[in-house]
Amino acid sequence: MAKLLDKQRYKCALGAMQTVQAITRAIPILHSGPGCAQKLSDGTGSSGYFSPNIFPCTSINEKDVVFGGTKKLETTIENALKVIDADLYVVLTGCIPEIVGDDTGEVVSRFEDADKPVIYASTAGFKGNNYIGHEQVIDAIIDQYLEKSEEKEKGLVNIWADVPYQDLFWLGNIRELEKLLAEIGLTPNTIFGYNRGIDQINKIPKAEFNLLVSPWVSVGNMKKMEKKLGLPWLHLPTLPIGAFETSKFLREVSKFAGVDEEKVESVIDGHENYYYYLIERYADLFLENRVINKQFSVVADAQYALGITKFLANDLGLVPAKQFIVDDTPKQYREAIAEEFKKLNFNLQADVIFETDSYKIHEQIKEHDYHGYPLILGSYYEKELTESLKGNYLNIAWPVQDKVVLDDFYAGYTGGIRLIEDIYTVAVQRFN
Amino acid sequence: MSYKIAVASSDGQQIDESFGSAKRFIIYEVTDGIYRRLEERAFCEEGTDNNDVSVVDGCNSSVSCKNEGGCGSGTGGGCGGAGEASAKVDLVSDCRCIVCKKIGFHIQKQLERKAISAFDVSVSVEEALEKISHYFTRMDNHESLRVQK
Amino acid sequence: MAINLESSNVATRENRIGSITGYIGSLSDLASQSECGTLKGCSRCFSQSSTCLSSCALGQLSAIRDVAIIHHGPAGCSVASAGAYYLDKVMAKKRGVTNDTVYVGTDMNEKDTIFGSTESLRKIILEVNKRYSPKAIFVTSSCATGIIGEDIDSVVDEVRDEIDVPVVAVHCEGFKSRIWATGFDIADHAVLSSIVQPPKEKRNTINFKNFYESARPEIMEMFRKFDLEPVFLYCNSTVEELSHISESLATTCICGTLGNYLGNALEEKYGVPYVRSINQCGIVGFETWLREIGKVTDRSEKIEKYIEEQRAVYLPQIEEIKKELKGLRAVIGMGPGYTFEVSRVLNELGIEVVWALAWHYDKKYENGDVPPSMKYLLDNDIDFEASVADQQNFEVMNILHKYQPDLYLSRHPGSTVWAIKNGTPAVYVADEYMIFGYKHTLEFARTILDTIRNRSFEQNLAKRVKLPYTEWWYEQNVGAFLEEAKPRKEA
Repeated sequence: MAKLLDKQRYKCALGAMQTVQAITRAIPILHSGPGCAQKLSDGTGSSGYFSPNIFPCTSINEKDVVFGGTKKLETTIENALKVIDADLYVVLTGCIPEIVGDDTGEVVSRFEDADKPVIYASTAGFKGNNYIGHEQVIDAIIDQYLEKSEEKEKGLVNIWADVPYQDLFWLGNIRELEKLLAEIGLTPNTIFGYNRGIDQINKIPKAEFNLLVSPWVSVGNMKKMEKKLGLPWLHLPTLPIGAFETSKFLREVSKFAGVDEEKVESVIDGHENYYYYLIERYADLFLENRVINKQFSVVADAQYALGITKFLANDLGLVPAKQFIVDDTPKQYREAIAEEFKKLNFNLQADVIFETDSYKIHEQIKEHDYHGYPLILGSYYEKELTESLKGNYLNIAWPVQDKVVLDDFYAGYTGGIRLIEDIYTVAVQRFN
Repeated sequence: MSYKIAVASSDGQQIDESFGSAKRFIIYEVTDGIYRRLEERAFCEEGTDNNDVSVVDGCNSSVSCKNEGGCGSGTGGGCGGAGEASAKVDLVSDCRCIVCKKIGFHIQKQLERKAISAFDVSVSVEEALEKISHYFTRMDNHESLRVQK
Repeated sequence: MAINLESSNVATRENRIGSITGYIGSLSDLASQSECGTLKGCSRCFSQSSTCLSSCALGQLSAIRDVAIIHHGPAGCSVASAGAYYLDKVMAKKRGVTNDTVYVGTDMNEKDTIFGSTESLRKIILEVNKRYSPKAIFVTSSCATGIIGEDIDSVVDEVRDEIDVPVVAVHCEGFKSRIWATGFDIADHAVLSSIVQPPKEKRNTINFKNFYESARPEIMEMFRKFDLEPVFLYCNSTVEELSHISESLATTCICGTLGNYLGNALEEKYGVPYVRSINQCGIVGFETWLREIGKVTDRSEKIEKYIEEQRAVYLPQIEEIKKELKGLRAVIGMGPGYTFEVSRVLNELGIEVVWALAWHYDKKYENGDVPPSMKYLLDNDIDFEASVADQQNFEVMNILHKYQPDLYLSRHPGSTVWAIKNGTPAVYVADEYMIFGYKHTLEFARTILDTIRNRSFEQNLAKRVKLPYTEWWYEQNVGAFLEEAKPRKEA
């Protein structure tokens, strides 16, 4: 049901055009109004090989509403194949064709014999937000493109994480997860970012298993792949940030993959030694600054709310105040996610609230006693609020205006260090 | 509630003329979703045998239009391309929409400002009227265009 | 000066460009042809994404400092609220004021498209009013709400009894217009119909319709010399300020496409003269505009004096830099307002415009005139190849590829990157005041010079990247996707 979406932190399902955009040489073809792509793109980091202003689009107008837009869609696909040099064409439907009943699937099926694959995903804005749209695109790839493979590649693991572009650190994070798996002797396979595209998609069915690192996004995709492609999957809900969670992550992956324990422990040791070398040197900053208090709140999607809460609690010894999950997490996943927030060191439990109305979030932050300056990690909306509370603020979730990220990341051991750098860069600018 | 639809068709069967080249419009009236042919409206061209109404033949200066206040006042006519187009827009200004094979960008905008929709389609007159009247009926009654699959 | 289509000028050009005919042609043809290139609704159609009129409409309204926008639709429609929030905060901070405007969505879902959601909308409007006490509430539709027949007008009518500030329905169904700049008119219409009050007294103010008021301090200072006070619209406006714009001496704007509707409406309804000159870009533009203001506000003497002083300072410097710019060739792609304004300035600076793409073209403004910027070019016999393409990047690339100009100028986000990938230096004319008056014209000229002097960035990048278009496309005529190219008669 329609609800008051005050200071919104996600887009609509058609925002999945960014998921397509993140697959190198894949292009979305939008069966939507002319301005959808522009609205759904982000101001920076969008000028890749393809950019939203060159996405082919049927630019639906009143005539198409009345007379149907399938003919226009057909010529748009036909010409996109001619004009745009891509490896994969993904037709995404907006609100109008879904409501007036354009049979997009039928039109797309006419391109079965095209030189390049053309698939489609139903991403009408009202079907859900861009997290759901992201899943729809991956579902489309599974349903319409991938085939089960009898041939398996030893040690090959597909890694799936959160939503590209919506997640500011998507590129760096997934590369770091790849690196970690490679270090324990596995061969990671991912489909997003530089040098990852149709070839990597083709390899998906040959993997030994799928590794999903996300509280809920893509759970459906994993189940679908299990059924269609026979791929088992390991679900690790927490994005590993910092030593505690990353070491745990490596052990769990190794166990599932049957990697030699000794090897894993030596990789972990190497990382932890360096990690604590850095922490030891900067422990003075953590202990003896005058502005960072113990209590913090994260206002972000489930991925960062959970990942950062665990990191700040388990690695840095901070204490979670209320945590806010703002991605409109589907109801069936909420309980399990809330449980994760109870698994903190020293039996700490974080109070987590699923909320999309930012007014209510801000009211609760204002009411909470942070025993001093609050530390708020959230989206740009929390900036002014945190300033008014004299707190410390870091912009880690969409919308982002306070940070430019090319390939920075928070995942892994190094990611934890990056997050510490960012938090204390804010802190050192103040004195109390 | 009733409204009018202007159709650019040379034979009354097919939508086969562009807005620019149409010499006449067939006007249909739709009452409670039922359409009927009302009349024909012919467009009288002046001083040009050019069948592209958009080419400015008669008008040498758009300034003169302004000074005379012709175009602006909406009376149209007499000042070349823009004026001719305006005159044509005036010819259908009591219609809710016009249906033609093709239509230029700026004419569309002029129509838009008078809240007249333009549909450029190559279908039969019957199909156009059916679909358009269905659409407007739904919109007027605040009913969804949603198709139940 | 008369437009003469039979002039040899046109025929010569026709010979020069050979294969490119019809819907794409010279500027003077564009002025005369109505079929100037519709890319849509045709049998061989291909288009790339452009802009939604709701972005234009709500971008304007959300810049007002004390209103609420309720965008009724799926979360993608209201996603602009995130950008609006940021802009409102930084723009207000720059001025040292606060912006309390809220822009919310309704996150419409599938169930709403089946059963409707007017009752939820009603509650949302009341809740927003309760939370934020805005000075006006704009309730706006979307494509989805439009086609499921949501009756937002009735909802708005209903809640009016419970809310003591103006509540206005703003119709923003993106599919209703192919011309996204219509959104500017929609915003003006909403302001005029709900906020602007009939004049009680005359003030020495001038309504100045612009985007982001970056030149505000200097314009205030200049107008002070003429005993005039500019009222910048709508960025950082308040409802109280807007209610008085009918009392101003005149209305002017930085971009005809942006200001046209408001200017004409205030003139028609309240007798506030609308200054319809070419805009303030470049020397001729600035002087023409200032003189027009002088005429309308009876301050010609002061304005002539100002022009004389400024000329003495800037003209020698501009003349000097022109020597270095001479011979450069440029392609420009902007909205219809700026395309022709910037073309004029480039001509002033001695830069040759080899092709101009207007994203769309307003053949006639509200009052029936050819746009002044266009008229100026025609009257002064400044002509070049021009086409109308709705932000169709593939066409821009095709043109850049063929013409290999020294410079590409654009005003729309995302468009300049493609030029530099082609190895073409690009200047992003984002700030609407970038070429304003003498000072900024000089700065603009210097920026162009700096841009072409160091082409390292574009050359480095162009060497490394592959462009996304097929070889096939580059071999095509620019108008390959325009339906049924009409042969030009006079050729």
